[in-house]
Amino acid sequence: MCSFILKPSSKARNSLSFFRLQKLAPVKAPFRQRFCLVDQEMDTSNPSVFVNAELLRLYVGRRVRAVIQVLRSDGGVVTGKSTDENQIIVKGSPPVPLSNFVEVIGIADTEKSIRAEIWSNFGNTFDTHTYNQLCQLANGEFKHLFL
Amino acid sequence: MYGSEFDGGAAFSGGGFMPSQATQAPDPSFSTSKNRDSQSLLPLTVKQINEALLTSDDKSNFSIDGVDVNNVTLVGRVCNRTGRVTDVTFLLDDGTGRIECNKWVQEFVDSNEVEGILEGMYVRIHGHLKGFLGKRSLNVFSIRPITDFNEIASHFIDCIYVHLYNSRLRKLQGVGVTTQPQMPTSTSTPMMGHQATSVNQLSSQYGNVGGQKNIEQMVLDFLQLPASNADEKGVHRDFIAQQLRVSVDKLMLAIQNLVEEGLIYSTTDDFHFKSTING
Repeated sequence: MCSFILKPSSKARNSLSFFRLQKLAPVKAPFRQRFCLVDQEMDTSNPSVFVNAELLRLYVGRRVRAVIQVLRSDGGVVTGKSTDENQIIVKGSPPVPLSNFVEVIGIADTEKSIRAEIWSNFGNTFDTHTYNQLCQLANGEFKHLFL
Repeated sequence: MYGSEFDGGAAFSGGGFMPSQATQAPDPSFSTSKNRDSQSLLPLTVKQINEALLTSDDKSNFSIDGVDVNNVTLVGRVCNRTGRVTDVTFLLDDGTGRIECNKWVQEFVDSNEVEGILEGMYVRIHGHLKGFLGKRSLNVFSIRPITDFNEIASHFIDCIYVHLYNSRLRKLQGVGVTTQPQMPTSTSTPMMGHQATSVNQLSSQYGNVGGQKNIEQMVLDFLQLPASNADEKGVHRDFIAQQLRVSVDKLMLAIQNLVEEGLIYSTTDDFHFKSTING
């Protein structure tokens, strides 16, 4: 696919070379269409992967999202229980107040920690079992719907 | 399930920008099944929309898993919200990607709905997928903040189910009959590769020996009838035998094979059976 957009200046518009270029390109589709194919609005280049503690290890350096049950919060470091019942460390600036369950979106820092950019309070009850199964499906058989 | 039960046209006809069912019903050239299919509400991820095929060049017809896409429902976070007097635009980020959304504000209820939508909020949207000059965006009918966050996981599980239903189960039931190129021998059961082959091997064995339609396929077809699915308990083996006019011995052999294939299962006791599809 074409990765640039031709914008002839008024000089270039008059120049012979631009018209030649127009003629060189195959003429099936209108000229303009062939150069405007780049989709600037839809962006699937930076997805955030559903993870639990086990899956987090596979995505170090990538953007992830996880739901944790908050165990401890010391300033900028929150220790939580992942949906597969392991410990995850989340760094960043957590919102105040912090609910029992929190979703964090950010970069997987190490195999056991996330540097969170976005925090969302998910309330005091949450179905971790279902979420954990979704993590597995979204990274397994149905990965192509997510990544 | 979704494809057949949810009638997007009826649900959104209140908005005033969709033709109502009533005006379309008297038109004899309009096939009802096609109509219902094209108006079904599909739960999707942004990734799926991004990869949707354009069915024709000039119009904005999309197709996902062989199904025409019109009305869709998505769940995600609101980003880059811009409010104007006449409309609100924002990017919906569902974690698989971002898509531009536009909601026209026509009446007082609309502006009330839209004012409650803030940047960063998780929302459920219902809308119409449109394509213009290669750009895909959503024309939003309804936007609602998510209050129970289990809805997020639930939505994505819906997406997986509907994808599975449209890409595999639908074909199994003969709704959208298309042959899969990777399995040229498969006839009517394109399940997972290994299952399809084993069923086909069996069917060819039966076919060669008896020259009759194989019992397994008959049982499977019978159990997939809506009437057989109606009762939670499933159908008694004697009733199946009676309906299909086969001996109980032959029937149980077929049933045993189908259970092993995972295509049917026994319910309350060893005599009642149900299809795993739409169970």
